[in-house]
This record gives sequence, structure tokens and C-alpha cells, in this order.
Amino acid sequence: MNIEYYHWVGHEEYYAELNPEMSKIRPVKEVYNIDIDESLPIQELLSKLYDITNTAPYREVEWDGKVEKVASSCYFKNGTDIHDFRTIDDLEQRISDFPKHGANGELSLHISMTIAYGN
Amino acid sequence: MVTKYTYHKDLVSQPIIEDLQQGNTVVLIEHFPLTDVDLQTFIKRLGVSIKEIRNNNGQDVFDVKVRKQNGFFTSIANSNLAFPLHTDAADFKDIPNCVGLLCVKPAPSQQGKSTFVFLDDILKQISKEEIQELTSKKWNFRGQSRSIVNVINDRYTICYDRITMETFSKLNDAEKKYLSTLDRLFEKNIFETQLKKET
Repeated sequence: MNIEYYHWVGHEEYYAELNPEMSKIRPVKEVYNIDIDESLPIQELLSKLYDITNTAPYREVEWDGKVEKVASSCYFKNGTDIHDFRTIDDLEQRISDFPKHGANGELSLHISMTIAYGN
Repeated sequence: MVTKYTYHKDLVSQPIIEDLQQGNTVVLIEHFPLTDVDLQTFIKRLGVSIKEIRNNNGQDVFDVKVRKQNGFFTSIANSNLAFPLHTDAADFKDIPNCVGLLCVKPAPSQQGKSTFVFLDDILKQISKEEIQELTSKKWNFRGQSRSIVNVINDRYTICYDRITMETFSKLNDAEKKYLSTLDRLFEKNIFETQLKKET
């Protein structure tokens, strides 16, 4: 199946703008063809995307000598607008249950490495 | 330190805006309805909200509740960890100058306290040279180069989130020590409030 993968969404778009070298390596979006059974849980697809996009299921955050692991947040596109992304809350949900709002009917996904909201 | 209002559908927002612009009080609005729609509607009367994909339905409200995925908290804001005083959205292009908190579920016993500090109280306790250091030295807030204290419209403002600063850039020991000193100064000046859910 084809996945329309967004590297930068929301306020991360500005992070990409501030780091043009990063934008060259990771454009706003790319389409990946992934061989996977769509009846599997979305977690299986995300596992493949972690490898393909060189992201990780978690990030280590640090402050004042403390270290904590925080999960990457995963999103799917739930509409045609660029900002219509919603959190994937249930990793057991089947891939085929997710809507396909990519430019050419792909499933659109985004993995955010942001550690926090507003913190 | 706290200015109280009582919510009703015709509550005039201008005095609240003026209180917030003054910056020397926390505004507490009692009997606020517990829905995203009411909160979003009210926020829009105060100013321009910041929409984000992390918010509920990509709108204006973010649920601060403990949430895990793959065994890890989904963000610092979705954890029950204690973390240092900070300002929100320090790495955003546009930083909000006002944040609203709405209690929809009471915290058990001693948990759930909100801790605040007034920047003016801090600045009164440090020298001009220290203020100069705070307003001139640039720090990396995940790609955004900013000072901790800034002057906007002749008023001091603060942008400070140690977790973002330390996680996304390599700070040397002297810089970490400097931030620890700041943290201790903030801690000495805090006041706490515990929001209650309406019954």
C-alpha cells in the first residue's frame, strides 16, 4: 500500500523552515510503498515507518540531571486540509479502518518527535 | 495575585483582557462550564488562539491527562511527572502570551496544584547585569534562538522551558548550572493554587 508520509506538520513546519538542511533531507512529505496486510493493527505499519523514516518510538528528554523517555506521537490525516491530522490513540486499530486522504488516495501519516505540548 | 470572576454567558471579557495585559495577576473564573466548545468560545473573546494538531480535534484545547503509548508517556504534558517552572510553547513560532487552564477532573489529595511565579518578582531580586544577561544571551529552543527574558512593548516577558532547551541542544555544565540557579530562584517565589471542578 502507498503511504503519504508527512515529515513536518503543525508547528514543526517552522522548525523545518529554520533548519533548511534538515528540510533537504526530509521534505514536507514523501510517498512510501509498504508491503503490508491492511487487516493488521496500525502499530505494525508504524513499526515499519519508524525504520523507513529513521524516527524512534520514543525520545529521551533531559532536564536538571533527569532523563525520561517520551513516546513519539503518531497522527493520521482525517480530512483534506493539511491540518486535519488526528492522534492515533488505539495502536490495535486495523490499518484498513483509517481513512485515505492522501493526494492520490494514500493513507496519510505523521510521526512527531516533539516531546511535549506547550511544555 | 488572583483576580476572581464568576462565569455567566454575558460575562464581559474586556476587564479580563485588561487584567491579563497588566500581567500582575492570575485571573480565576469560577463556575466555568466544562466543555471544549465553551472554553474555545471564551478564548476567542479574549484573543487569537493557537491551533495545533496536538489539540483536541486540531482546535484550541489540549487535554492534560496521563496518557501512555508503547509504555511511554505520550508527552511531558501527558505525564504525572513533576517538572520545573516553565512557559508554554517556547519553541513555537508564535508564543502564546496567555494560557487558560480548566479543571474537568479534581486531582486526588495533594496532587494537581498549579504553580506560578510573577516575572516582576524575579526581576526585583536580581541585578541589572543579571537582567542584561537574561535579555541578551540567546538559547536554543528547538531551532528557535531566543533570550529567556525579552522586552516587548516596554514590558519584560519570559520564555523558559528547560526541558526543551536541554533536550534539543547540548548545554555545557556552566549553562546547566546557570539554569539550575534560575530554577531555584523561581522556586523561592512561587505561589500555588489548586483548581477545583465545579460540583
